[in-house]
Amino acid sequence: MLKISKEVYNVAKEWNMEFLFSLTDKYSGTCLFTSSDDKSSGKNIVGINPVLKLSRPEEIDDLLMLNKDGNDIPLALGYIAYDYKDKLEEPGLFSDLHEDKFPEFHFSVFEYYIIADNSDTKSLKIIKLDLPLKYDKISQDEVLRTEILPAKEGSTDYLGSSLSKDEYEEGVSKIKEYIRSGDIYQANLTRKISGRTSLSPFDIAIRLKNSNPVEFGVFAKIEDKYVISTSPERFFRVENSVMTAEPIKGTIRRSESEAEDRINLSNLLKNKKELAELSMIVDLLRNDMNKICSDVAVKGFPLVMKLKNVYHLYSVIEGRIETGSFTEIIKALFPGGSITGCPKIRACQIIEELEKNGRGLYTGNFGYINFNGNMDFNIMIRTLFYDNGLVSFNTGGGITLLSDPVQEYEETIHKAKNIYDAIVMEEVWEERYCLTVR
Amino acid sequence: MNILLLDNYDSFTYNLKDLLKRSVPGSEIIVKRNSDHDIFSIKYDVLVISPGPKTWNETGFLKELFEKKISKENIPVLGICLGMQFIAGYFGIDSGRMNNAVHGSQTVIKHNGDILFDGIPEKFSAARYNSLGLYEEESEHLVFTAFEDNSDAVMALRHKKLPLVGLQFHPESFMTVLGEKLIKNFWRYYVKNK
Repeated sequence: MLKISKEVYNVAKEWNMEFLFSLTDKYSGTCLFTSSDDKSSGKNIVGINPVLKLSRPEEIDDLLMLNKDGNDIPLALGYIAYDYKDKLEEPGLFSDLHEDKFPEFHFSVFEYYIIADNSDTKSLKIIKLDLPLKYDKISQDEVLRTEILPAKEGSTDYLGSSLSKDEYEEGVSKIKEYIRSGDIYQANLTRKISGRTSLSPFDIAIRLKNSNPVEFGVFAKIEDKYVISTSPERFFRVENSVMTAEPIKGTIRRSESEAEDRINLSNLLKNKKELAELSMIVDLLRNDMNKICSDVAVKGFPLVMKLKNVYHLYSVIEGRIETGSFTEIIKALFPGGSITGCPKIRACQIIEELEKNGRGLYTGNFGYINFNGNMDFNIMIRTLFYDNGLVSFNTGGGITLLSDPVQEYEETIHKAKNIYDAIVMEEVWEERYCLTVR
Repeated sequence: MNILLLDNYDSFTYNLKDLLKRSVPGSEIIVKRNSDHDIFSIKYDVLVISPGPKTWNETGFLKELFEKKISKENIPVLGICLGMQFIAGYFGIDSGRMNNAVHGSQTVIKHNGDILFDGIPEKFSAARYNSLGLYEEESEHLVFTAFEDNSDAVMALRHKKLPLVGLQFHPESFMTVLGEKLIKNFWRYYVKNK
């Protein structure tokens, strides 16, 4: 492995999110963005010009071992796909369902990291890495002169859903039967919606960003394919040896009437189904953190996240991390309990049986790892994937004994509405016919 | 003392480990899955059976372990949820589908004064996660020591002669405030004074 040197500059440059996304698009970059400062740091991180690829967690540990220092600046950005789960468990537990469009474990060390703080749109912090490798370097001038891509209009044709309405509803009923028979307490069932679009990935990213404040957003170009995430959910963060997980469960629509908005929130806080689901996820995440942390404690339950269109319930769990190994961290935590169900292994098996497809990156985790070992990862929900004009995204929900199959299916349509609107997929009614594509 | 914590591929096993560590300082806790042959060869003084999916009959080598080792060597056992259902099943009482399945909520539990509940109010709150369970019935080997307050669902049991204790509720949940006290009592009265 190799030793990386780095220089840090502050430059005067007026920037906006369009500029950051244009940079990302031009230089095969990854942009971790936030347009909200409720939970996240209020900082956007862009990595451009990938010069080193890491395709196994052990490679990250090797790189960290040699390069760890006190600097709280990015070392690598990347993701773990949900379908990577079978590599982290004992063989034979999971099927070999994979959705192979993207690599399943993919981190990059970039030549440049650009840090853009939402509280200062007139300057950028630039970190230039120097790796003892041969690669095409780009100049800082060229980076700063990058032109903002033109915004274009377009639309998306609906191509179908991985599960038909009947299949989804039957899946809900089967999960309820698995719950009654003692296999699980809860499971998350999702379906994948596909479309063909005339919009560019850049256009889609901008439109999605503008449609809703985003906590843990991603715009990334990977092997000419794109990930566009508007996730509201943090999976876990490590900061100065403290690990924090923030699972979300429970959602209610907000209202323009202040009185009604208050009533909605109070109903959410009294909703026993949602509170039970959140409790279960809290216990599940405590469990996973207890594998690698000491002093694991619930710091807030339930807490309210206030977004533009919805309220969410969430919780904060903290522990003191006892390992510096990224491999050990993801073996302990992955995949995130809030998108599987509980107990996790049996829930994942049932999801495989009922969803019939791999999830690919969906419900995996995108984030950063810093030189000092700090890291932060989201849960890739509300995420769209783009490959040469084809787009896909999943929608779904947590199924419990109290779930109604028809309502759960309806809920998948409501939850996808933001994405439908952003990609101008007008013909939502086609969902009622439910063409099935695999 | 060494504790074998048998993991039934569950997602609360390490909460149980943390609870044991806090309640029994100085103990060594070894976690093994129910499919691991090591459970026949490693040395331990106490067996703790984790919760888990499915039924008591689908717990890997656990039944074999009971036949070959546990019942012969008088090893104290604490079974949680599926672990309790295993103890009941092993001694002839099958768990069935409950008419009040609960997953992730507190319930009020009423105990009948068993030494396990020493110092614990007659009614207390604890977390439940189960669809299967059992109701009181005559048993040659087992005594039922706690029930759900608003139903007659069994929430705790013990063996009449052997140091075997089962809890249907989850002492390791963040919603069960008295979890540590219960483990300490189990240790004091069923492990040390077995």
